[in-house]
Amino acid sequence: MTTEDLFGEGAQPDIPTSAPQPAEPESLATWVPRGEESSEDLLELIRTLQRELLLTRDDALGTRAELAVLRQRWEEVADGDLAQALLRIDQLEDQKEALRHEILSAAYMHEKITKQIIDDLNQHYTAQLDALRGSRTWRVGTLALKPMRVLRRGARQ
Amino acid sequence: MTDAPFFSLIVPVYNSDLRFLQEAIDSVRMQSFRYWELILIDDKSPNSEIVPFLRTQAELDERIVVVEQAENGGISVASNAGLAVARGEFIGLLDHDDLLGAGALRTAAEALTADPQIDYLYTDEDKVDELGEFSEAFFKPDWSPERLRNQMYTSHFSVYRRALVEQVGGFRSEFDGSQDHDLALRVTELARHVHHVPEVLYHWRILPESTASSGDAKPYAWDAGVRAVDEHVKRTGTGDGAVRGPWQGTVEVTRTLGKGHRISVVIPTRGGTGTVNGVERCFVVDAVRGLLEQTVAGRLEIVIVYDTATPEGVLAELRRIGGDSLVLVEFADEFNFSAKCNLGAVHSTGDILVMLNDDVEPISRSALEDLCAPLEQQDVGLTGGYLVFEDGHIQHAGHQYAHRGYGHPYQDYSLDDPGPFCALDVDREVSGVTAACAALRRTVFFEIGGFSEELPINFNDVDFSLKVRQAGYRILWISRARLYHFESRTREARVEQFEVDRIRARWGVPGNDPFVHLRTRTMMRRERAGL
Repeated sequence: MTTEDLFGEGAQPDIPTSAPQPAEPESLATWVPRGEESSEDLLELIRTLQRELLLTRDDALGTRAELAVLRQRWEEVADGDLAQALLRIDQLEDQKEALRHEILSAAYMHEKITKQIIDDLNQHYTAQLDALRGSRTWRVGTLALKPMRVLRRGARQ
Repeated sequence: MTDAPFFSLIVPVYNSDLRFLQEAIDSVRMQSFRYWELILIDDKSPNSEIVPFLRTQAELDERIVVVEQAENGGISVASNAGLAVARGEFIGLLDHDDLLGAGALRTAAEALTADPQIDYLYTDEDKVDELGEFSEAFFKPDWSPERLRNQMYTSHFSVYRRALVEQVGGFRSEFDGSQDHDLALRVTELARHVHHVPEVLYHWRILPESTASSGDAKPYAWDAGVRAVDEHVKRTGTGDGAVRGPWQGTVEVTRTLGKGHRISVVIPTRGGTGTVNGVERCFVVDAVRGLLEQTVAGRLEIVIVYDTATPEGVLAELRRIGGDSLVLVEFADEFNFSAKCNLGAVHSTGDILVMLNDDVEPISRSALEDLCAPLEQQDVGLTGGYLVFEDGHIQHAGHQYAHRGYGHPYQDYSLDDPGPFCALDVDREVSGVTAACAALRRTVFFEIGGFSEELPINFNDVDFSLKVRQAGYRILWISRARLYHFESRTREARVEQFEVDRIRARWGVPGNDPFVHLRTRTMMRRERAGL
């Protein structure tokens, strides 16, 4: 019996009969018993699953052991110079970040205020210009200067 | 020290040499730790100078208590008389001519204060001669119940919680000579924590008539020890009985494997051949032949996991000699020892699995049974064999994980050598065993996920052993399970960096081994050769 028989066409065709390698989890997940499997087929499936179980357990136990080692190493250095240095680096990084944030905020505010001032100035300038143009003096002056403009236009033509 | 423990030191006295007795008493009085009483029990010494001497000592120091026995009753009766008047939370035992190391009580008190659940504590010890010269320091393993069954290794200086000693009925006269071994066995059966202080805090006087100078100076003591262990193993179900061990003072626990077990021996092979003692042989074929001569051959299944390249002639020979006991499993992948072992395990049917290299061959007919029988104790997770090279030098007597590395201690010793403090003649707890010859229950194999296939060649047995211990099981090295290991004839050991990185990532960098002292380590052959 091959893995292909168990898991369908195309599933790990290179696995030798007598040496079942751990099956891909998705292959196992999609495998559906057809009711035609011989006891040898099922025995082989059990072996495959047992092998998968071994690998998974080893992986889980190994990961747990690695975590314990890392925790222990952290505890070992937690009160030492290295930990203090790492802590100081963290603090300095925080300070640097805070300063950067302040600088950015200040620059933003500076830009915003500058823009506001320019807008205000433009607004005042426009208002004053409009007020000037709407004034009696401006209108009288405009009327007084009108014949001069007509003459200047005629001379150009 | 607040809430300091109070020690009652019990010293039976019988016809003592007054000079040495004075030194023993002085070694207690010179302790920097103050909370103690010294109980000197005269066991009706014929020497008329003894009692006046003891009375004088008591007058000099109010912490010294003298008990005078009306008649000679032996060491246990005398010790019980001391126990009856003891006021301390803990009792310590001191022989009348020995010396308590400076700082012994303070060190013990610190340990007992740090862990209130310690019911029994022992320290390292050495010998002191008549001139006061020290020698033979015994750096003991951490708590090793199997070794205590095989040898009274905890010995001196031992501190017992008094309530527990009283609970077990104190000392027993029928074990005089090994009454301390008997007491230690009974107390540790009930002790919550047993603690080892790895410091030499006791100096055992070497005199011609003392057991310190020779194990056979008191043969009655040896036999009393055997009886104490015999009772203990029957009481606790840890063995069938006990007999004298191979070396003076040692005890051998007898065990037979229950008939209901089926043993599957998994042998990875490629059908290699080599010359042993001038004779050309195919290792796996001879390994199978050796197995079929074992006492447990009738309950044996031999699973051979062979590489595709294994010669057909070898397979044919295996089929011929193995018959129905043989299961052949082909392994077509790239070499991976762990994967081969795992594959063999899933093809096996036994409730006990024995992982065996193809170049291993039993020396005695009972080697396999000796290896497997301790597994009937449910807290024993793994057992390993006593492996010797072709030339009779030790190849494996348990692993040692220390000095930032992983090694085989005792390789300088040969087969008939008892080793330091009989370490090679007693079954004992170890940190790990080689996968070249290791036995475990099938359930444990699956519980720990078998061998890590991320470690295809080296350290897979180290990882395997550490997983077994992590799961809470004891690992035993079995002195009687003796086998030849024609190592390096089939594969040259070469460690890759990724293997070191892998094992260290999982288990850290080895520091001190709990069962083999730093100084016990001997260089491996490869190291001596500069490889």
